Amino acid sequence: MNRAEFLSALRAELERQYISGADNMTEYYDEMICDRMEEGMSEEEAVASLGSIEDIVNEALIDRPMTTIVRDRVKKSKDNAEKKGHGALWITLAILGFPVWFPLMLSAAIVAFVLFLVFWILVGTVFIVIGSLALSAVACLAAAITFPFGWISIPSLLVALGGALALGSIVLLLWRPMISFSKAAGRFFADIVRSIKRKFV
Amino acid sequence: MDSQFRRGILDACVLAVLEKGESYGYQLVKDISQFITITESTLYPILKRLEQTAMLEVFSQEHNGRLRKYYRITPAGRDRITELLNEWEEIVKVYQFIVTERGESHEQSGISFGTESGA
Repeated sequence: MNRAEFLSALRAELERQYISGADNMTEYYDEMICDRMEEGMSEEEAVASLGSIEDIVNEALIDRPMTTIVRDRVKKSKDNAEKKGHGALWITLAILGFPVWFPLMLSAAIVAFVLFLVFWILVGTVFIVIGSLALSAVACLAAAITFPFGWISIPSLLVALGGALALGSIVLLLWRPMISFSKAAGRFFADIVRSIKRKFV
Repeated sequence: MDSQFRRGILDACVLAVLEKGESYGYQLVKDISQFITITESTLYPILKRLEQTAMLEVFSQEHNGRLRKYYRITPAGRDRITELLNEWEEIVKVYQFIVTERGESHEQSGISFGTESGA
């Protein structure tokens, strides 16, 4: 297969699988072929070294957002049915099956959304706790500053200063672990989504 | 190797190469494949993802009468390398723990076999 044939076949497969960004991807592979040819490979050797179009497309499929995968799957199934002359049957089954597939899909979407929400509320709560501790530290400090005006007594000043120091220390101590935790949580969530996507692709 | 684990390692490899200086797709594949298997089809989504998360920037430059895409690391990309290295230290600790535990359990089973054969 030469360069033009490879790029045209790749584009056709990307379009067949409803993968967006076909222009960017063919540009990328064209550049790879040119770079290899500059190193002395023949056009055919350069194309062969890139691997199969199927593998390339599979990698691209995994990287799409979940909603795009589901939408494309539905569109692909409808198009396939239309090509085989079963377009009307597909639509009829989609309408008749609506009371079954719609509640199921809706429930799945709601469960996924609630899990997503719970997950990020948990992360958000951690930051709210840290924020409230920081705010309390500032409040204690503000109270201590009022001492020269005679608004608070010496024992209150000591309590305010102690409180500000203790709360400030807790915030400083927890800040970095909390940042790491939220980043790790984000990556964990992304990994879960990627695992689910693999089931579809 | 687990695919998610491999993906994380490849992200770090791409960023580490770019930390040395700007590079382009084919050069990245050549540099990284000296240490771990990577193909163009694996690299493409990694570059896309790193670009979308602002860990690298892309720009085109003329080369031999054609445009070639170059990739440049961003401060966020540099931070990510530090994070990955910190995570790696934890993984090494866990690895050492597993090796030690395994060694001890093998030693124990070796003793019990010795006792049985002695009896």
